[in-house]
Amino acid sequence: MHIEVCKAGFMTTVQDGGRHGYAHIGIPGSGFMDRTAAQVANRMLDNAVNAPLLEVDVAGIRIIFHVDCTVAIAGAHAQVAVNQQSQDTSKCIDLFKNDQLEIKPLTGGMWTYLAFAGGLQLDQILGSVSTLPLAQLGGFEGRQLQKGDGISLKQPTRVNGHSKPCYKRRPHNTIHSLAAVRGPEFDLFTPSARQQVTRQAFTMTEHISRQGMKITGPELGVKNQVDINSSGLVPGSLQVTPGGDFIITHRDSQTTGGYPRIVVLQRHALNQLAQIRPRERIYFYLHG
Amino acid sequence: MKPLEVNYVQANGDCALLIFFKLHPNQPMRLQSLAHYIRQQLVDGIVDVVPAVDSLMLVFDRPITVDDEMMAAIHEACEQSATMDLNSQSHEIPVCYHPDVAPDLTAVMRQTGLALEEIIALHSQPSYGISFLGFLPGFAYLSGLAKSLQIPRKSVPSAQTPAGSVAIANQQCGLYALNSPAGWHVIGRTPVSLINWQHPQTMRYQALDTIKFKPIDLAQFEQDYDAY
Repeated sequence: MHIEVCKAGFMTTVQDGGRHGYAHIGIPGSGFMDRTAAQVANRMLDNAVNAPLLEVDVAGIRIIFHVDCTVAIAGAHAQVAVNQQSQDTSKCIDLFKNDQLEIKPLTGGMWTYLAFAGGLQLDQILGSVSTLPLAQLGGFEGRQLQKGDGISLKQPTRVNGHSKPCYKRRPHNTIHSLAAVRGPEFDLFTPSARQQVTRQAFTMTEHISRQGMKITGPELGVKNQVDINSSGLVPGSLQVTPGGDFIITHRDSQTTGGYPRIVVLQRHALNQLAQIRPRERIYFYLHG
Repeated sequence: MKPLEVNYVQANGDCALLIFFKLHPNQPMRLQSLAHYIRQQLVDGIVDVVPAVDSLMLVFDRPITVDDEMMAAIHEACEQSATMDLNSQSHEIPVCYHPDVAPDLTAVMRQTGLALEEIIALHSQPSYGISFLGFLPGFAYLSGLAKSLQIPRKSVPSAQTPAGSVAIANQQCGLYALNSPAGWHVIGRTPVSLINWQHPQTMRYQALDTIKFKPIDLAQFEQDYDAY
């Protein structure tokens, strides 16, 4: 064991680039919620861009190091301290044996990424170490990290690393516009619903998970309440349930579904969606 | 065998498309064969091929546009896979039809007007075909449900249904391989584990396999349940 978790939130897991190619047996792609941020952290250390790292939730994390290793942190903003000394996260941070690293609760956004030089040592399942908590699959014992967990690093080393590219330092917005295309069932919605979906604001709720988020927004009627056949579902699908709720799928979403989809996000917008906090506003705009 | 005929193609985000097909007498076999054929071709950029009821989803690793070239490739794959027949296996799965393990059984009796024994007989008599897998890891969509058991989905899904639940909705029967929320009516439960989690790719069953349910009583369920 090279690092030990002293404190963690409820949703912190090991993730990598994802487990792709098994949607036809119901296994989602999983992987980094905010792929851009995770890849920045890995790049700072010269790791493979999709190397496994810790996806840290809003509560932050505290870790004790039992080896020397350089780390990089990217994603949602947070104060970071080593042995209670404040750190500059625009650069890589060197940790030594017995050091305590603390990422304080995130101050904007939902996820921050903690990468280790050399990566994490975990067994792959179907080509990935990403944790799928709903199936208790992959990652560290198939679950979210908790106090006392000890994780092995692959090749803990100290590296010089690179500074964070400055574009990641912009402040966290509270109004978001997400690029989307018309959903497969767009035409099943009323003409008014088709207009409202891009004109009105939606709001993020507290129901946020790796599977998806519940958002609230204008009433969007379906022309006829038809029972549509289940078909392949991708992350970023804005589904409207018979009760009128909006569920937008994310990385661990189910792989087929039967709710009508009014819009589907462009894949790059999933990174933005991942960082939206409860009560923040969302606008969808259509491409193509 | 007549090839599948494309009805229409829809973008599903910028990196995936859904191909919907016209009704075909052997839809599940043709869709699975087509999916298998496309996977074997190792088409550059395709990461997932997901057949469902009347559609096939292709997921790419990059944004795509549906052009004539892509449509021609899809038609070609339909033609090429039209003569492929995939192997299938039969499985017998023990199921306990008892309200203690099947919370919706009483409601289904009320909705269908059938007695418990009639439901058990109607449900365990047919041999079901697995149309496709999807939704959640290991969830199987089965076709062959008796007409008198066909009722709509639940209006309010239950928050948590245990692994091994056997449920019905509309024309289909479903097997829940893991604990999950459920919008279908749970009428039975199997004591056997439906996925080997150490090797999830080696599923107990795959699409096109046939499944027959063997009724067991609560005592038998509890005895076998302890085993896994």
